[in-house]
Amino acid sequence: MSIKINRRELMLTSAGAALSSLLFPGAAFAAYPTRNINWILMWRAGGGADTATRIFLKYAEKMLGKKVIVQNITGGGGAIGYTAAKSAKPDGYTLVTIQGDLPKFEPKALAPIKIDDFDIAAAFAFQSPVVVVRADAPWKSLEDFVKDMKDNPGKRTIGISDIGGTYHQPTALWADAAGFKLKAVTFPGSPQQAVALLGGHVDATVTWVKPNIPYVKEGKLKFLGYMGSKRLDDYPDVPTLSEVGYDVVWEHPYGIGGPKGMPKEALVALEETAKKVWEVPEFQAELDKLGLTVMRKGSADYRAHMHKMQSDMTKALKLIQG
Amino acid sequence: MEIAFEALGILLSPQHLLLLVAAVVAGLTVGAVPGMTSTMAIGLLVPLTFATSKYVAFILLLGIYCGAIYGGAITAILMNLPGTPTAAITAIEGYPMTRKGEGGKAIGIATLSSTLGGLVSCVFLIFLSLPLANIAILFGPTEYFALGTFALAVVMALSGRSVLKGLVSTALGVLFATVGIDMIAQSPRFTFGVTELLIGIPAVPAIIGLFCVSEAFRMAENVTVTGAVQKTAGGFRTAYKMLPKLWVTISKSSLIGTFIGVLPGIGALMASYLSYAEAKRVSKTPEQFGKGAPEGVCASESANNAVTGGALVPMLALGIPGDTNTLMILGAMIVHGLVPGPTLFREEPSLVYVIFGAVVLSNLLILPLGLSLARHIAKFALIDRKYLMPTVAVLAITGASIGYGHIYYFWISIIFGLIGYLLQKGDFPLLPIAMALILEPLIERNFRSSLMLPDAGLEMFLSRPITLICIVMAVLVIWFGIRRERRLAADVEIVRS
Repeated sequence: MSIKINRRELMLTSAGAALSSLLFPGAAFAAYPTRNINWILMWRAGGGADTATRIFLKYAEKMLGKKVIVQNITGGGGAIGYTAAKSAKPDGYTLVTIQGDLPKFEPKALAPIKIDDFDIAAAFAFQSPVVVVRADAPWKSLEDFVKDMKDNPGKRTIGISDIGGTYHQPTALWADAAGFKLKAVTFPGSPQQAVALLGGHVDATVTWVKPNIPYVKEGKLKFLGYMGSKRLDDYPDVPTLSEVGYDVVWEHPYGIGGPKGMPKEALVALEETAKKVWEVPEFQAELDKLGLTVMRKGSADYRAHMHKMQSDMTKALKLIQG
Repeated sequence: MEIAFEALGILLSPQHLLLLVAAVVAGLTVGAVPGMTSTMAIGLLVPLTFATSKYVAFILLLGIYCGAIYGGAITAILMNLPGTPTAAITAIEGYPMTRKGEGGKAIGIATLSSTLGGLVSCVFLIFLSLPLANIAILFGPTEYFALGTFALAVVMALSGRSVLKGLVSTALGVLFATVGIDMIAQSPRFTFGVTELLIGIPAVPAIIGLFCVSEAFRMAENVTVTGAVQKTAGGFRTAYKMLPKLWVTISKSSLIGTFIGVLPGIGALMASYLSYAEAKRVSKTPEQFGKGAPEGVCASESANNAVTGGALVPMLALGIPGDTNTLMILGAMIVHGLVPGPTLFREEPSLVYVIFGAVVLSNLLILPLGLSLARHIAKFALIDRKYLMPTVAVLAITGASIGYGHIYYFWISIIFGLIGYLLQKGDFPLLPIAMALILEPLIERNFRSSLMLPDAGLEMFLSRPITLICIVMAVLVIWFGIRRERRLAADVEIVRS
C-alpha cells in the first residue's frame, strides 16, 4: 500500500517536473527542490556557525521556494554532525554547513571525516583572525612586535583558543613566516581572550575581529594586522599580514554542501541560489553585524579553498608539534 | 533617568507585559518538570527570537530564566524530584518538610526566598555591573584554576557524610569529565575509537540522569509505597510569619548567590550548596538539617535566584556568561548584532534598562504566580507513583537530551541514572560528580593555561594573592570536613557505648 502511494507521488512529482520544464523552458532547475530540505548543523543553536547559516538560509529559502529545516547535531568538535551528514542519503534533501573546521579531522586524526566525503555547492561567508594588542603597548606596528618577540624569546605571550585550533594554526604559520618563537596561552574563546589581554595576562591575542571592536573604539585595544586576503572595510589602516611580508592568509569559511553523490541538478541549483544570495544587500549587512564578510566562491573554488586549508593546517600542526 | 522611563514604557506596554507573565509561567512549569532545565528551555527558544525585536527576545528569555530557576523547587519540595540540578539542594530539606506535612509552608518559604534573593541580586546587577566588571579582569588563568579547585574542594569535603566517599565521587566526576576531546590540544581522550565518545560526557543530560532518572529507578523499587506525598493546601501564610526568623539567611544567601553568579563557570548549583552549608554551619540546631529545616530551603532558594542577577553582570559587562543559561542568552545577543560590554551600555542603554527591568519584574512575578501555581503543580504530586514513575523516567531521559539530535545523549541520561542509583545505595554523594562535570573543564583549562605563561612554576600559585587565598581556603575546607567527620564518628561511638 505504502509502495503504491510512493510510486504515485513519484509519478506525480516527475510529471510535474516534466510539465514545469515544458511550461518554463528557461527555469532549468525547477526540478529541485520539490519538497522541504533538512539541514544538519554541527554546532549549537545560537552559536556563530548556527547564526551565520540561519541568516544565509533566510534568503536562500525564499529563492528555493521550499522550507529548510535546521537540526543542530552537536558534539565531538563537529564530528557527530559531519558523520550524520556524510552517511545521509545523497538525494539533495539533506544538506550540511560546510565550514572551516571540516579540513581538520584528517590531519588531526580526530574522526574518519574527509573533505571528499561531501559534495560542495558554494561558500557564503568568511571571517579572518586579527592580531590585537593593548592600545598603550609599545609596538606601533606588526614589525615592531615581531622584532620585540625576537629580541626577547619566550617572554611575549599570545592568547589563542585551543592548541592546534582555529587561531593557533594561523598564528603558528605567522611565527614560522616571521621567524619568531611562539609562546601561546590558551583561553576558552574570544571574549575571554579580550579580557585576558585587557588584564595584562597576555601581550597579544589572535582572535576574531568582532568581540574586540568595543575595546578598540574605547581606545583600550588596537589591531596590528589582519589575516584576510584584503584589508577590512571598517579598519582600512590595519594592514594584512601578507602586505607586511608574512605569507599568511587565513579565511575561515562557511558554505553549503551535502553527502557525496548528490544529483547534479541539486548542486547546480544550490550554487546558483548562493550566487544570488551573495548579492543581496540586506544579507551583506546582516553578515557585517556579525563580523563576517561575503565569500564569493562557487563549487570548484570552495572545494579548492578547503583543500588549501587542509594543507595549511597540516603544515601548521607540524610546526605546533615541533 | 529619561532612558529608565523609556525602558519602563517599553516593558510595561501591554504586549510586553503579557509576554513576560507568560514567560515566567512557562519558566515555572519548565523548571518544575524534572528533566526539563532552564538551559534547555532557553536553548530551544533562542532560535525563535531570531525574528522578533530585541526587546521581545530578552523579555522572553529572561522571564523563562528567572521562572525556571525557581520552578525547580516546587517538584523538589513536594516530590523529591529536583526539576533543575540546583533544586537538588532545596530537596534536602524541602522534601522532609513535605513528609512532615509542611509542604505548603516549604513552598511558601521557597517562593518568598526566591523573590527576595532575585531582587537582592537585581540591586547588584543594576548598580554594580560596570564596577564589578573591573574585578573580573584581575582574574587570570591561575586565579580561575584556584577558584575552581576551591569550589571542588567544598563539594568534596562537605556534600557527603564521609570525606573519603566525597573524594571517590569527585574523582569519578573528574574522570567522566575528561572523556571526549581534550579541550586544549583537541585530541581524543578515553574514546577508544568510538566517534560518539568524542562528544564526551555532556553535563546536562548526565546531571539530570544522576538526579532524576535515578529517582525513577528508586520509585520502581517501591511502587506500592504510598502516602509519602501529602496535600499541601494552606500553610502559605506561615512563610510570611517566619520572615523575621529567616531574613539573616535570606540576605546572606542572596549575597553568596550574587557573588557566585558573577563568577563565570560556577552556576546556581554551587550557590545553593554554599548557602546551604553556611546556613547549616551557623544554625543553632544543625541536627535538624536533613530532617526538614526551613532555613535549608530558604538558603538554597534565595541563593539560586540571586544567581540570575549575578550571572547577568559579567555577561552584560564583559560578554562572559556566568552560567549555562546566560551562555544561551549571550547567543541571542549576538544574533541580534549586540556586542555585550561597555559599548552595550553606551549604545543600547534602553535595552540594558529593559533587561534590568525584566529581571526585577520576573522575580517579583514569581511571588504571586509561584504561590498560586504551586498548588496546581502540587496536584501532580498526588498522582499514583505507578503513573508518575514512567512519566518521570521518560521526561528525564528525553527532556535533557532531545535538543541535541543524537541518540548518544539519551544513553548518557540512562547510564548516569543507573550510576546515580547505585552510588546512592552505597551512600556516595552525587553532587561532587555533577560539580566535577562542570568544574573540571574550568580547572583543567586554566591550570594548563597557567603553565603556558612565561613565569610558569610552583611559586606562581603562591605569589598571586587571589590564587593563594583560594588554595588556602580549599585546604582549610578539606581539613574542616575531615574534622567534622571525626567528630560525627566520635558522637556515634558515644551513643553506641
